Amino acid sequence: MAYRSLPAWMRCIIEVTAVALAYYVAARIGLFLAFENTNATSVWPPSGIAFAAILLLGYRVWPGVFFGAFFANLVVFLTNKSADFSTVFWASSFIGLGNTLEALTGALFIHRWIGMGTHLFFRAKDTFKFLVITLGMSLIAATIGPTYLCLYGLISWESYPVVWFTWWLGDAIGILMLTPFLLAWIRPFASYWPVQRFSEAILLYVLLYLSMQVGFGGLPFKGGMTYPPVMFIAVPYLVWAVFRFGERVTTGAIIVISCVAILETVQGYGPFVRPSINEALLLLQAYIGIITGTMLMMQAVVSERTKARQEINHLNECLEQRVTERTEQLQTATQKLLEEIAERKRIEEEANLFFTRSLDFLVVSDFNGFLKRANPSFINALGFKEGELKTFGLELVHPDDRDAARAQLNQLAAGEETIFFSCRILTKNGSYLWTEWNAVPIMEQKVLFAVGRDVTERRSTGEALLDERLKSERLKAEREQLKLFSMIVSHDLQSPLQKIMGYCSLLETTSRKFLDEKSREYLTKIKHTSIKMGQLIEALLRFSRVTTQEEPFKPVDLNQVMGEVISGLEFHVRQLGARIECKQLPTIHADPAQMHELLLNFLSNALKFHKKDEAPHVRVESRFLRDGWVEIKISDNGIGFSKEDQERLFKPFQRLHPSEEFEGHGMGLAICQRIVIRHGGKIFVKSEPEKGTEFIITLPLKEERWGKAA
Amino acid sequence: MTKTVLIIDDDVELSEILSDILEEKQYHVLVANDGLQAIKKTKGEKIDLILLDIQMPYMSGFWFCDLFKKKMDTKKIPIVMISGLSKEENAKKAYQLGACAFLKKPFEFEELFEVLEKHIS
Repeated sequence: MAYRSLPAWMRCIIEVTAVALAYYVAARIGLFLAFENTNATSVWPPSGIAFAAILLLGYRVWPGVFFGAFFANLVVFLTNKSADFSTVFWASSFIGLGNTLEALTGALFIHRWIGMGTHLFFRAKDTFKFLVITLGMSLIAATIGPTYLCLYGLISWESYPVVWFTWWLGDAIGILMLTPFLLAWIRPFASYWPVQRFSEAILLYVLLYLSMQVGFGGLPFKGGMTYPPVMFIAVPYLVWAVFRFGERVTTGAIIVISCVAILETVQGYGPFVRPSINEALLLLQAYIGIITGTMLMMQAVVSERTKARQEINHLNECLEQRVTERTEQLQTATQKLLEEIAERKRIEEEANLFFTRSLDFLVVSDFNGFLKRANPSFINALGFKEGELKTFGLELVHPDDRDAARAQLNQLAAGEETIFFSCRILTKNGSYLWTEWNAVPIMEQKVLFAVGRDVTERRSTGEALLDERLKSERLKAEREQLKLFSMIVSHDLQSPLQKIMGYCSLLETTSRKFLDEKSREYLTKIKHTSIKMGQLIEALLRFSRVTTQEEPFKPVDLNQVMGEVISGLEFHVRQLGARIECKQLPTIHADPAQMHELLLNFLSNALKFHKKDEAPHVRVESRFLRDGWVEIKISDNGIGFSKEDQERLFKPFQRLHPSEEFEGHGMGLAICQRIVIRHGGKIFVKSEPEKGTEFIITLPLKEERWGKAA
Repeated sequence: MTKTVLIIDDDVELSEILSDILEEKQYHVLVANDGLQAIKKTKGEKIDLILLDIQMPYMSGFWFCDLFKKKMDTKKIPIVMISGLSKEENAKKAYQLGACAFLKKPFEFEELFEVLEKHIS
């Protein structure tokens, strides 16, 4: 972190210096690996370090490469005392330049072909490119260095091809050996190894080292023996490293193999020891190059395969997880669906329960009036079978209501609801039911749901009420007509009577001298009969007037009425020497005029039908009965009548007694009867011939208790 | 001195009978068959009493009575109403309008003579 916070230029200087130092040290080590007394090295590690530095730190560290190479070569030249300083200086410069260019070119190609980053060994393709680039880039240094040396006579032109080839291979193998190693190990560790794995790696390295010792004539063959060519002994370990560990351990193993092979060979041991140094060098380089290249490729292939397998595993895991999730989702959905189905079933059952048991009509129909479904209430009310019903359509509706029904259906088809539509519906027995409907359309299914009700009874009640009203109106009209009729009768029947009487009078006066006594008597009788006729007509009118000219009820003080009646009869009373005894009477709710007529009739009757030898004595008394009724008793000491006569008593125009003896028209009691009935009361009569008569009238005190006028 | 009685009745026959009977009794009798005729006939005549029917064409007896009782020159003429209509209902109205008597048809002529003598001063 602290390093990261330093300024860029300082970091650059540090990095350049570090690279230069590393290069220099690596060069010195590389020279150790050279054959004794020569400058020829099988491996040139600094080129690997330079390449790795450029790849890891960027192009800007090139000065480090240059100076590292410059100083390393300069020191070597100066140590060997090959030439004067300026030659050596320039030679070192050119060699450094070659090395720098080599590393930069390599990095350039890597970035071009493989891409930025240091993951060069995870894919076989990338590793192959790396190998090609390595061989190609090494040509640069291998060409610049020896060419300059030859030009300035530091080496002979004869040895140029060998030097060039050695240089090329040395650089290439240095890069192959070290660059992957550095790239692999400098990269941060992704995970810590467990002890077992760590131990395994250690064991691997130990065994590798030991087997390399065996293969290259180290232990236990030290000491001039002939060496069996078992340099391939390292391969199984490398394969082990590749398969078990991967990039880091593999590159480490390559370093071990290379180091042992080089060191042993340089010291004169191992299978590559030849009389010619060049030959030995070539074999060693070939060995390291082939092993390194192969292992790198193999490592890449394995890594690729591992990665692929990991991806597949990951995919598999994902897939499994997804399958599990999906399955769960599916299960939940199924569960929900099942619940929903159950719920729907329940709702449907409930709806069905209502549908089949409703007292109202429930009907589903299309917009043309054809039934799709009808509940038992409707089917039973009509009496048709359900199948029959479905064929009717609007035929089921009364012809008079059909247009209205069609209009309603059109409205429903337009999406409007129907409220309280009434129509008559045909039943199986041919009669019609009055029905009332509410309906709602379901547009998607092109049907309507209707709820209906049989209102026939209500209708007929309504009609009855209507009838009643009509009747009462008719009655009223009839009454009016009757009233008019009675007026006409009274007027038009009376006039002729008047004329009859007029002619009688005229006869009497003008023809007096021609008429004998008998004729004059007849004329008088005609006049009397006419008078009587007039009275009859009058009585008849009064009788009809009880109901045709009824007046509203109001409180009537019967004492007052009785007073008026008696004063009206005063002349008669005095004439007859009659006695009228009247006790306290009640006040009742009644028609005053009719009460007057009632009492007048009873009193005048009582006075009229008196015994010849006895003055009339009339008693009027009253008493309250239970429940608001009142009783009025009118008794006399008159002639009375027989039981048989009582039945005819209240009929119009009935006379019990001869008219010669008693005046009257026989209407009085009929009128009384009518009046009492209109007031909701009753008349009782007790009478015996020659023993007087007792009329008992019961009347309610209050209007509410009275029945309608009879 | 002869008294003049005006009979107003749409019933021509009855008017004639009444006229004959009254003439027999030495009354001077004028006859009109409706109210309008009556108004014409009274012009220039001195009427001592009017016998008036109630139900008549053009103008009811009540209306005629009301009219005569409001006119200065005729309001003193006594009016006797004659009708087949019920006495109870119509007599009251007749008296209110100023009639001096109400005769219910059929009446006896003695009754009529009494009324005439009573009201013709």
